[in-house]
Amino acid sequence: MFSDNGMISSRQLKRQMVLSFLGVLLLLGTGEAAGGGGNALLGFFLGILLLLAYLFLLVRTAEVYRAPEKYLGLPGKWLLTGGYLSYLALSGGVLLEEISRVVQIYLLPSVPQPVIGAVFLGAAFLGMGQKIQKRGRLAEVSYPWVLGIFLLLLLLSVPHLHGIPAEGMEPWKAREVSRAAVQVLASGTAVSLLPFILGRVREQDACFRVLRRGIWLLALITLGTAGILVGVYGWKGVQQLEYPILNLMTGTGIPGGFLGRVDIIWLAVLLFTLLFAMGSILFYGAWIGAGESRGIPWRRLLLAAGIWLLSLIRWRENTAAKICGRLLRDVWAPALLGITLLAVWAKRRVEHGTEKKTN
Amino acid sequence: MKVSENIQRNETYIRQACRNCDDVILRSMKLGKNPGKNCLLVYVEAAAGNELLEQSLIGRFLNRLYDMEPKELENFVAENGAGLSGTGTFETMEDAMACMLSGNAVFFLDGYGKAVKIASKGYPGMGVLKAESEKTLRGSKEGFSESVKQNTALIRKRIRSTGLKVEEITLGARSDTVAALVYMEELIYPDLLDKIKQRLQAWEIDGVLDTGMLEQLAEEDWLSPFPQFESTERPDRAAMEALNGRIILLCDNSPMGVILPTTFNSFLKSTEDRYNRFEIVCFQRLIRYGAVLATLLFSGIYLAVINFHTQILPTNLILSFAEARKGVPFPSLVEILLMELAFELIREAGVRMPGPLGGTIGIVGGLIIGDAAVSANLVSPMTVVVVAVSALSSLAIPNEEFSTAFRLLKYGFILLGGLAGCFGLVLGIFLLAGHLAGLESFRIPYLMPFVGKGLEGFHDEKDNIFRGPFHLLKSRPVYARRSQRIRMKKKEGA
Repeated sequence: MFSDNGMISSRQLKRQMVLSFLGVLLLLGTGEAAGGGGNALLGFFLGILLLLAYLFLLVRTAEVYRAPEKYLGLPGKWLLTGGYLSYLALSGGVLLEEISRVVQIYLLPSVPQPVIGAVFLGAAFLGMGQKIQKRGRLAEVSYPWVLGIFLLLLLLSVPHLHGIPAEGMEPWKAREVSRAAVQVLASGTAVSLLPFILGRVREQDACFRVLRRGIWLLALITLGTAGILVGVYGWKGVQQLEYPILNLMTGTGIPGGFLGRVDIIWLAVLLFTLLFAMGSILFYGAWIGAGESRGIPWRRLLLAAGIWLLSLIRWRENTAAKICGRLLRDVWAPALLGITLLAVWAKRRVEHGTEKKTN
Repeated sequence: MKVSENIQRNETYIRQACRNCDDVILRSMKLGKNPGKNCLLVYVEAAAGNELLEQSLIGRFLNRLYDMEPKELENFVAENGAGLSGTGTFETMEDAMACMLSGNAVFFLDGYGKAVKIASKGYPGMGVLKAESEKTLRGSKEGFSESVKQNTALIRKRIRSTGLKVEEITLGARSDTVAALVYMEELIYPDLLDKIKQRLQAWEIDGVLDTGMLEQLAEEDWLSPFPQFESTERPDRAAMEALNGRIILLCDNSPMGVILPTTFNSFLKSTEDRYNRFEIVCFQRLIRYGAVLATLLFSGIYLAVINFHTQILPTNLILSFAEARKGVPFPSLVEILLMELAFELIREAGVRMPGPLGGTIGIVGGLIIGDAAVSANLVSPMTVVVVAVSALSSLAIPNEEFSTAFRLLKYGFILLGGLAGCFGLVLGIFLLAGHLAGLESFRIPYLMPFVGKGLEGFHDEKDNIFRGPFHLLKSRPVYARRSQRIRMKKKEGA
């Protein structure tokens, strides 16, 4: 009865996805979207459309991800597993490095970044766990609070708007728009992790619909926030800030002067979503190829260790975020897109073969 | 060993088994007209004392036997013994001894191969008590007693239906404690009942003395500080939950019943929530949820703000805090920990102190220790306020076991807030939320109804954080069988 079947609802699926992306988008995505001007904003919108098309393919080929050996053979399975595990390690390294830096700058200046990173990773490791239902419930219960507080604080920042200025905006260029669209698609390739758990969703037919709604919600929040940033700082001003969304909250207050500043509250909620995102990376790392395994979670432990080590990379004044970020954008994102196309082909081949046998 | 027709053998067995048991009385007598037949009465003195026997039905029965012919004695006992005792006879000495040790008297007749139970008032107990730990302004003031029979009767008094089942099980190899599972047969999930029985009987234990022991043996996640069973000392609460499709576990010698399965939200509901108007109930529920957050986080947030994030406060408040802490020798983290532990000491002393002294301890602790500590500059006044708010909040949580979980976790948040500020608090909240998300009580998610929408046909019972108007509370919660979710509907024509 009840939770014996190890399934999640489509509502939990959508909330998991939104929470996993929300923190990262707000911290990094809004700055990029606003800083790139009108081209970036339009490109963002087009990128979302491309992402939705990609998501459609992923949902249709979900069985290939769940049973790769059946569709791609053993070499294909190892390619898929290896590709995704390395993708997760790199993404985790980038995310952890960014988080450690933000926490050190804004919250704990005296604590070294590696310590912050290790503690953060430990909390994500323990808090998220390995069970899909636990993750689903965590998302379901925290979603309204996270979204509510985010939207409330964004609303409080609206009085600081000076209107969206026309001057300073770069002229429209198709090349810039398409570059931004591809950037969004590359950044959104994390949705390719979703097929691994789609088999555990109770309402299978509703998967694409709810995920599509989730993506539009994320797009709306990102574009809305980017618009507020531009309205407050202007096009050029946004480009000069490293984390413009954090600067925005520094100047925001609650009417009545009850609290001096609310950026700490914003950071707290942001950290929660980033914990969820990191926990999701670890979750998928163990899920891919192993599922809900019992006993000591060696795979997650190794992945966590790898993420921590990657986050420490420094090379010629380049941080892990820059190095791994470039690799993810230029190598892994196209590779994952390629795997999806391979999955489409494999599924068609197997279905075609099955049809022939039936006939 | 079978009950022998030779009464000497039975007596020898009992004397051997009960050697050095001076509270077990063996009364040998001869009943019937001359020459009479040998009889033996065995009982625990305090449970079925001499004066009770004189006045009881069996006393009159024994008096009757005095005048009978010996040949008629056996037939009379065989035909009437079971009826008089009300619960039958025993064919083995082990069963007879178990019955005797349960507080009844057992009668043996020479030449008769069975032992006859004589029901008595049983062991001394406190009777129906007042509910002390679940006080309400409205509703019954009755609390469970220490007799499982009385407790089942108190529930039966409120649900006069044959659908209310009382299944007795015996637990404890040496204590032979009677436990009872009380439930509405048509409302519960049968799998749930089987699972509970399985868990209760999974352990071989020498003695079960309280429902608390059963709770700890039967719960799934024993590492969690959160109780996965809900305890109550109120029969009206137990009856209400039986009508909600839950199962009540009662144990002899324990005035606490256990309700299962349970969820986070059910611990924050009080019995009188159903008796009061919905506006006040909503307000009270908000207070309780706020109390949970305050118990858990208030001290930790205070430390995080004054140590790491003073910029969050208005300037005059920061200056006021700084002024208050002037001359205090300890770091704020140590201050808070000392005061919290002092409060726990006062609380513990207040519980152990008899009667009137218990209240005095609270006054002594609060006024003298708190005031003296501030006057001596050991702690700042703000610390006393923070600790007091946190402590009062824990007392506002209706269920004491549930509140204990937050009282313990509070120390973790104090350390996280004091050492790592907001970052530490967020990590703690994430870990706690993750833990609660994974917790289940008999496969029902602990965070229901906030999670699991659509699970098992679940729909809003309109009694979560807020309670709807009474006429809208038509649905049973998720514990009840799917086909029995409607509890109330308006009569046609009304």
